[in-house]
Amino acid sequence: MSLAAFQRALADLAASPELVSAVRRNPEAALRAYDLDERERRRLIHVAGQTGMEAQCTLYRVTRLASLTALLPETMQSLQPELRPIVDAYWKAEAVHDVRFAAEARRFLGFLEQNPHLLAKASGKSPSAVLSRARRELAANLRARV
Amino acid sequence: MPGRDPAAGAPVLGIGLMVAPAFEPLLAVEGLVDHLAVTPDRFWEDRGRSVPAEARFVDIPAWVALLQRAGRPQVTHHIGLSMASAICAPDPAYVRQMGCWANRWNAHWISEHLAFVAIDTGDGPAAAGLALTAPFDREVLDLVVDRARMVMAATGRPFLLENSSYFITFDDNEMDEPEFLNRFCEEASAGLLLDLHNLYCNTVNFGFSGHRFLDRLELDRVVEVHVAGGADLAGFWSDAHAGQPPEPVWDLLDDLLPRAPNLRAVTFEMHESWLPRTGFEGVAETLARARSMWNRHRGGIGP
Repeated sequence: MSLAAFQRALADLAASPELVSAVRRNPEAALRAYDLDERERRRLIHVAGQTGMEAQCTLYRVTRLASLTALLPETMQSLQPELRPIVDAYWKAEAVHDVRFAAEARRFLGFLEQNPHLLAKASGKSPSAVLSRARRELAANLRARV
Repeated sequence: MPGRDPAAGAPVLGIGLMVAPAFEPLLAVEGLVDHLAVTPDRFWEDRGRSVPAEARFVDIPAWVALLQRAGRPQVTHHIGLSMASAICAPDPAYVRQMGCWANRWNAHWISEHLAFVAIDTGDGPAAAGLALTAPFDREVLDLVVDRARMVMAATGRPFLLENSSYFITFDDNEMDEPEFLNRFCEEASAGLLLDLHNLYCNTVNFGFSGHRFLDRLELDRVVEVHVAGGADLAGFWSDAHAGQPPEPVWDLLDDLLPRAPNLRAVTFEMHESWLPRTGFEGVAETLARARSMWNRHRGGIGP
């Protein structure tokens, strides 16, 4: 299972700039949760220190955002200037990216429905209006693929 | 085709396009697009592993209709198998679907990336969220070879492995990338989809010569080539499929074409969101340039 743990740690690093920083500061503590052999631990410390890891973290976030901007573009625009804290909260609640665009967009909409307080500052509109528009937008964009 | 041929029996396809509905007007231009490269994962909705296999993969009708209208030879280029994952076994329903799709569209070969997109969470497989590089180690090579054999056995089609771009490197790989790719081809009896833009990304980000990389590869294993454009991402050159290929990618193609005796196809990859910037003319220009280079070195596919 060691290679599996190594790959899980590598994926977690790509998904979490916070974990990258933690490995840079205190690698033993940050990697303690993973069942790694010595070479794998050394490799993860090495790659966490590379500037390419920062690019990888950026790519992860871009990729995750892409599924939402593809199917909910107007909703995402309307969430400014609170988009970043909303997306951060969503990613904290749903740490694993569902790479299926439709599933990820539906899950994000469900998250907004469960957390309407996050929408209060976003658009100057009522959370129910934002949600109603988001539901229509997602339905229309999914229908357009048919 | 001389010597060992990893795509035995497949015809020479020529110049192609990684296709999406937005590109359909280009398919009406005679002599521009010889074949379609299709990422099937974009043409179906995967309803997830919890759904019964027969109902799991559902066509996206508007996308599939494009293939029905297009009437071009096809090759399939998957993104969901996760060749290098240390999960206990590849998704069997996905492998079956690869075969069903290849049969349905008579795909001449099947390709996948040298990367892992699935991780073992302890509770089963989960998406890693993006394609990640794995060390060039014996353990990883064994995984990739096993999966290539599994796909070939399940689908009856030639299999090509695509080299990936990466942002991080491991300083103690058990072999270097060309050796890994050569060994893969030998042990799996498979071929290479050589993505020249991925190679270019790595040369820019890690400072080596793409031409020397080609010197180390067994180029008779190369069946298909990808060319693409990229973009800067946090100080790294990324394989963003953004616009037209940069000049060094054309230089690599010019170097490769006379040296890859089993090459069947050159495919241009561009994300359709770039069409407003390139216009259809920009895509057509890229395809025409690839054709001109092919004809200069190899002749035969015209016009």
